Amino acid sequence: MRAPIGLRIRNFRKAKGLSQSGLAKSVGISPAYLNLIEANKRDVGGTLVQKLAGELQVDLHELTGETEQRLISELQEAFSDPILESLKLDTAVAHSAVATIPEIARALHLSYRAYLEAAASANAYSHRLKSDPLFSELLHQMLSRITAVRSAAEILEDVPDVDERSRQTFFATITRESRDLSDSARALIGEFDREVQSHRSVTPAREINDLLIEERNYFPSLEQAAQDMLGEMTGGTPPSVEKLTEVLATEFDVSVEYGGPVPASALPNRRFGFDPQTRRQWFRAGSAVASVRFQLARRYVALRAESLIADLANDPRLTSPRARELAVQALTANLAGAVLFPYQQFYEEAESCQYDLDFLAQRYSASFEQVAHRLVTLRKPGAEGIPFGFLRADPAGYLSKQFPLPGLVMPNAGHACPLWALYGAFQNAHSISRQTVSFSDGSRYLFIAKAAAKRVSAYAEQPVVSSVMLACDLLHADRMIYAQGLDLGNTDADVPVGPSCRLCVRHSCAHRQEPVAANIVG
Amino acid sequence: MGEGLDLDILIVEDEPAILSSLEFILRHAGWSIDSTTDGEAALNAVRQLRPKAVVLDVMLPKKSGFEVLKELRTDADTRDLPILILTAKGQKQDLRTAAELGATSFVSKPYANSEVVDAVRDLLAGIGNIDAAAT
Repeated sequence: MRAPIGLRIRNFRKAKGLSQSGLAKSVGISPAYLNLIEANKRDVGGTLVQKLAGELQVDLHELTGETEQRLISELQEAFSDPILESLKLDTAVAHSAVATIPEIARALHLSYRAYLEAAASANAYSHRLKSDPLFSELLHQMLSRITAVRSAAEILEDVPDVDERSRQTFFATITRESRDLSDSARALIGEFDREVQSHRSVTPAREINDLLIEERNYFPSLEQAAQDMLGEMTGGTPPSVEKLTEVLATEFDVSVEYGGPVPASALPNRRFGFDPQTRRQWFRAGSAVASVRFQLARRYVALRAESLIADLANDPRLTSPRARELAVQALTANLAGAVLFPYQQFYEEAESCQYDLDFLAQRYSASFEQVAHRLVTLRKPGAEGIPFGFLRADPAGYLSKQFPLPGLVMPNAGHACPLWALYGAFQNAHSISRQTVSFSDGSRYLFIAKAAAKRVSAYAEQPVVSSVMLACDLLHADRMIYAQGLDLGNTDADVPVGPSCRLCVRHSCAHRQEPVAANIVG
Repeated sequence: MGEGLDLDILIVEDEPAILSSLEFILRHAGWSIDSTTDGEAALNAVRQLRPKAVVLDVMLPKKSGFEVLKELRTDADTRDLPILILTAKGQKQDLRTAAELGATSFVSKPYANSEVVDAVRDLLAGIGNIDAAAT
C-alpha cells in the first residue's frame, strides 16, 4: 500500500513557500514529474526522497510517512468497528485525511482508543453487576422497590374505586419503598464511586472468563477439527499414546523421549516439555500415562491446528497480547480434550454413568482433572451436558485454574471460601468430596472435588498436589451419581458458603480468614 | 392461606409490598387469589388448593422459585400447570433456566400492572411467552 507521500511533499513545500518548479529544479527533476509525485501518481524513493527531505528540511521518516502509515492502519481499524463501519472509510480517503489533516486524524485515533478503554471499563462494570453478590443484591433490592412503587402508583392512578383502606396501604407503600429505594440507590452510587477510584484495566484472566461465558465454553470449530483429526487418525476412536507418537513423528517430525536428559532451561518441577530446536517432546521418567497422552495430544493439535487456534484467539474481546496468549493455551487444551474425549461418545457415556468421573477417567485412561475439564465443555446445543464450573487449587488455597459457571461467583484469583469442598478434598486425598452449599443470595450448588498428587521421580522431589472441583447448580444435581443419598430439597443440610471472605456477607462465620471488603454491606 | 377449592391464581412472592399490589390487581381483574411467601409453602399450597395457574417469584426463602418450578414439573399432577415466573434480575440466564425448567410465561420486574394482568389472562387461556424470549 502506497503511503500518501505526494500530499505530504506538497504540504511541506507550501509550508516553506516554495514553488513546484523551484523545488523540482533544486532536486533535479522536471516540474511535471514533481506534479505527478505530489498527485500520488508516481512512487518516490531512494536518493530522490532524501534530496526532497533535505530541501524541505524535514525528517526522512516524517516525509516517507512511516508514522502516518501506522495512523492510517489505526484509522482503518477504527472504521472497521461496528459503531463506525457504516461510514465506509475508503483507503484513499484515509490516506488523504492523514496527509492533509493529520491533527484531526490523530484526534480521531486518540478518541477511538479512549472509546475502547471506556468500553472495556463498561464491560468490567457490566461483569461486576452480573457476578458480584453485593451489586446483585443491591440491584435485586432496587428492582423490587421500583416494582412495588410503580405497581402501587398505577393502582392509585388507574383504579377509580380503590377503597379507603387499600388507598392508605398503597400510599404508605409508595412512601416507604421510595425511601428505601433512595437508600439502595445511594449504596449503589457509593459502590460506583469506590469502583472508579480502584478501577484497573480488565485483567487477561477476566477477559478469558467473559469470553468463555459468552461462548458457553463451547467452540464448534474446535469440535469439528477434533472430529476431522480423529477420522484421519483412528477412524473416530480416541488415540493411544503409540498412535499420537506415530502421527507426531510422521506429520511433524517430532520425537518423543522418556527419562532422557532434561533441557537445562526446564524448570525443576517441569515433568515434560517441548524443545522446538530439536523437535523433541520430552518427559521425565515415571510420568503417568494419562499425563503423557494428554501432552502428546496437546502437542499434536497445537501443530496441526495452529492457524485455527490463532484465529480463535485473535478475538476482539481479548484486548491484550497476554490475554490472547492465555487464550491460545486454553483453546489448545480444549482441542486436545476434544480429541481424547470425542464429543458424542463421551457425552452419551457421561449421561449414562451419571457423570461418574472416576468411571470416565478409567474408561478413557485419563486423569480426574482431564475428565472434569472435558465435562465443562459439553455445551453443544441439543446435546448439552450439565453446566459445570471448574476450579483447581493448590494446598495453600491458591486458585490456579478456573472455568466460570454463569451465576456462580468465583474469585478471579487468590483464594475461594475455605469451606468449599475444593479445600476439604485435601483432607481426604484421592477420594471424592461432595457437598451441597448455599450462598447468601439463596443460590444452591453441588460441589464435588478430589485432590491428588502428581507422580514424583525421586524421594527427595516434592509432589505437586492439587485439588480439582466441579460445581453445578443444584437444579441439575439429580443427573449426577454424586447426588445419590443427598436430600437435595433440604436446605438445612447445605453448607453456608460465600465466594471468598472478602466478598462474603456472613459476618459471623467462624471460618472467616480476613475481613469483609469495606464496600460490602449486608 | 385460604381454603379455595376453585382457586384461579396462587401468588408466591415474599416481598410484602409487591404481594399486596399483585393480590389487588389480579383480584380487581376478576380472579380468585391466594398467596404464600416461601417456596416450601408454595408446593404445599399448590397440592392443597389446586390453583388454575401460579405466579411465582424467583428469589424466595426456603426454596427458590426455580426449585419450586422443577418440583412441580416432575410431579405428574402439576406437570402442565400454567406457571408465570417473576424474574427480578432481568437476566437472560434466569430466563433460560426458567424456560429449561418448564415455566410457561415470565414477566420481568419492574413491570406495569397491565403486563401482569395480560400475561395471567394469556396464561389461563393456555398461551405462554417464555420460549420465544429465552432463545
